[in-house]
Amino acid sequence: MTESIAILFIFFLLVLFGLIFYSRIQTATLEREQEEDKTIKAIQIAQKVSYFPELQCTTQAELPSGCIDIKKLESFQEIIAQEQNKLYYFQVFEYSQVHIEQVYPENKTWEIYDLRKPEYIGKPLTFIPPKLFIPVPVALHDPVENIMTFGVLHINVYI
Amino acid sequence: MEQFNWIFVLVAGTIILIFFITIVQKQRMISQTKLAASIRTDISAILTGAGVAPDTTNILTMPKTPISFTCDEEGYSDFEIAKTGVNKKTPFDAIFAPDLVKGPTLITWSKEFKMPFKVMNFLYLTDAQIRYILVFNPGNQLAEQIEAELPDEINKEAIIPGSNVIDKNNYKVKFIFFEPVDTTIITQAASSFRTMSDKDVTAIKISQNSIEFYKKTGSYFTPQGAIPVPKDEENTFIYGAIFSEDQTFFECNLKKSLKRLAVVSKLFAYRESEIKSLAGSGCALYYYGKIEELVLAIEPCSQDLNLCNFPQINSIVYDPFGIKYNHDITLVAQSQCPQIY
Repeated sequence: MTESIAILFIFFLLVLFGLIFYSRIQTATLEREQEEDKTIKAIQIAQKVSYFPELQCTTQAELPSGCIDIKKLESFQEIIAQEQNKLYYFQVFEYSQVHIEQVYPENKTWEIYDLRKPEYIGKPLTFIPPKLFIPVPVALHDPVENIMTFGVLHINVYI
Repeated sequence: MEQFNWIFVLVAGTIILIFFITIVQKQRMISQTKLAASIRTDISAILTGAGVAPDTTNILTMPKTPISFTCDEEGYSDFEIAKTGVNKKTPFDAIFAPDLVKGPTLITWSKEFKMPFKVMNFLYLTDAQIRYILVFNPGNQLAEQIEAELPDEINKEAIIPGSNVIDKNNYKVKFIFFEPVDTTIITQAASSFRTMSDKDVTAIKISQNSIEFYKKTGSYFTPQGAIPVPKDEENTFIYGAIFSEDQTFFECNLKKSLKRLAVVSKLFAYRESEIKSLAGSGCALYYYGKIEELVLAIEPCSQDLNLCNFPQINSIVYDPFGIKYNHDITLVAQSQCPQIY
C-alpha cells in the first residue's frame, strides 16, 4: 500500500516537473510571438502612414507613392492637434510617435503624432520601455515652390 | 484489504485519467487559440497590404477556418476567427464583406474612394463559394460596367430579369438587380432558394443615387428601405453594397467613409487656404474655397446619415465650378499654380 502511494507520488512529481518545464517553454514561445506581433503592428502602421491620403503627394509631384506633400503634412498637423481628431487617428497610430525629418538639403522636423501609454505620461524618456523604431525613406514635395527634398518618416511604437 | 486495493486503484486511476483529459483539453484550446491568433495576424497583414494598394485583387488560400465579420449599428467592427474570441477590431478601415467567410479561398479587392480627391481605400472581401447573380437587361450601361469590373475570380453570373435560377448549393447567394426592374421579378427571385436560410439569400436593387436592400422571407424578397449614396465615379459604394452582408453592414461602412471624408476634406481646406496665401496673386483666383463648402456639407452628415444632403454634396464636387472643375483648372495652370488636391 505504502509502495503504491510512493509510486504515485513520484509519478505525479515527474508529471509536475514535466508540466513546469513545458509551461516555461510555452511562456518563452508566447513572449517571442508577442514580440513578433508588435513588430508586425509597427510595420503595418508604417505601411499605412506611407500611403496615407492625408500625406501623399498630389499627381503634380509625379511621384505619388513614397512621397509626402509638405503642405498636406502641415495641414495634417493642424487637424491632428484637435483632440477629437487625435482620438480618431488613435485607431491607426495607437500608442506611438510619428515624425518626419527632412535630411536633405537641410534638416527640418515635423512632429505628427505622439501618444504614450497613460502610465508613462509625464515621465522622462529613460522610464519608458524600449520602442520599436521603423524608419521609412520618403521624398518630400513642396507644392508651392514645386521642389522635391529627401526625408525619413520615423515611426516609434511604444511597447 | 483486497477490496481496499481495488477502491484505491479506482480512485487513483480516475484521478490520473481526469488529470490527463484536462491537460489534453487545455492543450487543444491553447492550440486552437494559437492557430486563430496566427491566422488573425496573417489576415490583418493581408488586409493592410490590400488596403494600401488600390485596384488590386488578391486570392488567398487559408486554412478552412470560418472568419466572421461584424460592422453594426453602433459602428463597432471587427473580424473574428472561428468563434474562438480571437478577433481584431477594424474601426478605421472600410471593409465591405459578408458576415461569414468559410474559406478556404478568400478574395480581396480594393478600390480608391475619391470625392474627387482620394479619401481612403475601400476593401471588398468575399469567398469563392458565395454566389453573386447580376440581373439586368442587355444595354444597361451601369450594370455592364459593374459586371465587367468585378474581378473574374468572384463567383458571378449575369442573367436577364425573369430568368430561371437554380440552387447550386452555395452557402450564400446575393441577387443584384439594376433599375429599371419590375418589383414582382425581385419579389419572386428567391423562390428557387426557399430551402436556404433567409439570412443567407439577400438582394439589392441599384439605382443611380440609392441602393435598396431586400430581405428573404420564405420564398419572397421584401424591401428593407433605400439608402441614398453620394455620386462617385468609381462606383465604390455600389460595390460596397454588393459585398456587404446587409443594410446595417453597408450603413456602418458608409458612416466610416463619410467620417474619413469629413476629416480629409477639412485637411484639404486648410491646405487650399495655405497655398492660396503663398502661391502669389496670379494663382489666388484659381482657389474658389469650394472644399470649405464640402466641409460644411459633410460635417453633419458624418455624424448622422439622416442629415446627409447628397445632391448638394454632388453639386459641390462635380458641378461646373465645383471642386473637380477647380482641380482641372489648376492642372492647366500647373506650371505656376499648385493643384488643390
